[in-house]
Amino acid sequence: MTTQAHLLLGALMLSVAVPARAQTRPMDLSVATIEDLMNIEITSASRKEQRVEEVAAAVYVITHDDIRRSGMTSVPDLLRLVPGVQVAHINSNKWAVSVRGFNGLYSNKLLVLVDGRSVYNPLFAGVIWDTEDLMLEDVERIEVIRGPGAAVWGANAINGVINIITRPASDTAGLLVRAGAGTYERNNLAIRYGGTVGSGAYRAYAQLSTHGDSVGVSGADANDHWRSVTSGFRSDWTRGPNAYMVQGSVAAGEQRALWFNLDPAAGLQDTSSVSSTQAGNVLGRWTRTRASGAALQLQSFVDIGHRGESIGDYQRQTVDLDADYHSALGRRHDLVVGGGYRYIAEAVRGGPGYSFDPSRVSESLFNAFVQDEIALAGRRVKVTLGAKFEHESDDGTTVQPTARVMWNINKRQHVWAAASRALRTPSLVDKGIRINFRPTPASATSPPVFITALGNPAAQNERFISNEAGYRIDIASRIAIDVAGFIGRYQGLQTAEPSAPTVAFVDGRPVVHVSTVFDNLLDAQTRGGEITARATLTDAWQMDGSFSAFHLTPHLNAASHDPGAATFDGSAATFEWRGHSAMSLGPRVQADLLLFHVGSLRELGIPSYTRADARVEWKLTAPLSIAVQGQNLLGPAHAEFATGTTTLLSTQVPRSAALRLTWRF
Amino acid sequence: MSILWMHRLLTAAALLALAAPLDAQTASAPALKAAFVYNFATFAEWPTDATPAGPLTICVLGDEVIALALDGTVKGRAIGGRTVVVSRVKADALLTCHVLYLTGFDAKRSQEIIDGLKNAPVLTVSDQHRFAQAGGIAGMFVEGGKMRFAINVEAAQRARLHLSSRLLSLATIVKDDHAHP
Repeated sequence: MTTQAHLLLGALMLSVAVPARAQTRPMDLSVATIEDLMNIEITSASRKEQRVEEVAAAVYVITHDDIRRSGMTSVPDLLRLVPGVQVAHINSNKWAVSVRGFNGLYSNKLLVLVDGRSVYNPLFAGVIWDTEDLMLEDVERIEVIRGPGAAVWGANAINGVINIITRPASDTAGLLVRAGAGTYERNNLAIRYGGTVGSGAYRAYAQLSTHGDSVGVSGADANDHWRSVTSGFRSDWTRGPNAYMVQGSVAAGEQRALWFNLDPAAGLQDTSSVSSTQAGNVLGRWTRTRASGAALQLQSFVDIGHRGESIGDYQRQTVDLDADYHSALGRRHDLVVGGGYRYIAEAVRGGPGYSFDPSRVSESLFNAFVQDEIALAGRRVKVTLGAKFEHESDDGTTVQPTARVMWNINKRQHVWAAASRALRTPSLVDKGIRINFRPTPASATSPPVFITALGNPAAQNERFISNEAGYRIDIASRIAIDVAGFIGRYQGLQTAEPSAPTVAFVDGRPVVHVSTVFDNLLDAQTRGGEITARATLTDAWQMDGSFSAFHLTPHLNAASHDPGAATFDGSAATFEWRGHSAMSLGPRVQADLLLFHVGSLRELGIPSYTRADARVEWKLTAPLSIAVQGQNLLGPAHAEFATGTTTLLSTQVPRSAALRLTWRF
Repeated sequence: MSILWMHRLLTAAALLALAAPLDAQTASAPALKAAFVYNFATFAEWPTDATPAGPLTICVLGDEVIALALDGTVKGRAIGGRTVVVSRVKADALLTCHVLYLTGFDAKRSQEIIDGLKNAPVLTVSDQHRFAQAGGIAGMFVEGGKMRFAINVEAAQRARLHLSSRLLSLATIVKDDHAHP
């Protein structure tokens, strides 16, 4: 052998031998320095606690401090802080929110959880945000996973998972009163009281929020003001190795939702009707932990909701039961297994022009998942293999697997890659909706045209294969940079296939009737990435910023005649960036400046816009602080989304100012 | 040429593999709390007249999971040449403790426990809300998903404990909410 070959062999043996030796000394928290312990962070990417830097997925965490300093008052607005998440105002009480494209009022590829309770609406498998008016002072953090989380969380966690985690009751002791007023966010009042009893803690709260009108396309008030009242409680207690948590809330709201009236007998575009919503839920969780860290968790929730809209009436009940067990297995394996059952009953009463067939459904959904994290090469490399199995009476059994690898180059640098398959199962809307749109008026050249949109009882799963990779680096504990990229392939995306027009005669006059039926005839490829940087410039000044890119290429199926398929761009901007400066001006004053830029939405005809928010909070006395803020400061109003052929009017976001006083005793 | 290039690459890979060892990557909350309790003990000095010889005793009141986690953490370890033992205790037998971890008591009851120690040299630690402000010495809390701790320096002085400056530099320093004897 040549000298070079010897060296090569030596290097090979070294690179194998060193990790093997490290492997014989398993990680031990007691040899970690106290500084290291303070860096251990907790996330839910894999249903277990993990440091954010070491999650093999694109994760972003909005902390309790970020929430307060952003000045945002709703969950969808807070999600503007997250790179790769598209948030757009539709009107004062409706938002379009998605991760990595496919945005819309009825975004359906995203899973949103509040303390483990899924808040998406099974009717269309998306979230209607106006009923999720959380008391943000009680939110500990919001974890956003971009990319599929389906291997753990199941169907609908296709493009992302948003996990809202509220503070344990022990962290919210005492009395808090908040009162605010503003030009767009109108009067709001919140009261929360927390205390301890024996080995447990509790809190109870109530919140009233009123919101003003946004600005219509013409520049006048859009008449879409709304209000909501939410009240709830949470209690946490422990007994020996058992931890218990029970929480619940009730909410009621009233919105001018700007639904188009579909009744041909009513006036054109009558959008003045009032919608009302009521919702309630109770969730209980029992966790039994062993000293080894192995933990068994049982969780159950019941969630009911009702929406009364001018276009129809919707009721739902969900009962959910989940169990999971997390344990190390030998020195190399870290295993999470779980299963669950969910029962959903829905009933829809249509209005003029709008109905469902069937109008009443119930379904039982069983699921099981397994995930194994395997430590290799002295724990420098971790391979995670997982899969979720779901069984539903109508749609059969599905498998959603993932494979992830994390290479911890050293303490400060991490590289990861992942490949996953995820599915979106058809919802009641996909299968059974029927909308008769208002006919176009007759003209000299054309008789009136009636358009009917129909669901497809044989709707298929939308299928997604995702490939992702990322890199994180921490530079001198001052600058943290996170880069993630993705290439995804969607198959069987929903299309609306028009039938051949038919001519009928009504009262002796001709009318044209066109119906469209949902089908799954579009494939698409998405590419993009996100870069996030956080810099601690001084102890009193932090900056963070992000840049995200998204591109969708539709691949037309020859059998499809959907006129929108060829120009479909995912309703997401090609480029977005945002920046946040957080400054402390002495011990009592904090000043924040936020900038958001969203590129144009070509298909929807929405021009690009830049949004600027500013906020100053001044701690007057120990219990009392006052915050003054301005939002959308750069212009009087701008549009962020267009709902196209859906039945809701979209408006513009106005410039606004608000004042908030918070007392903590 | 190509072998030399591969050799360099492999050497670089081997050097990377030799770089500083990693932190503990995942931790259950009890394991993490137990590790903090153990660490606090390593940064404390007890007055010389307090239990001069024998093992250093970490007492646990009200949380079997932490006690089990501490059993694993302290196994075979010594602090300042003293072996460390974990002892499950009742609220009326606390004066043999060097470190007392308590949890699951309401503010009034934990106040009684602290007062019952009568400024004995016991390093009191808890994850209860505002424990250090209520007269305890070290209170642990979660902030932004990470474990943090508060130290009440006056309470440590009352117990005649000396805490290292390294510990204090990492802590949120707090004062008593109410006057203490």
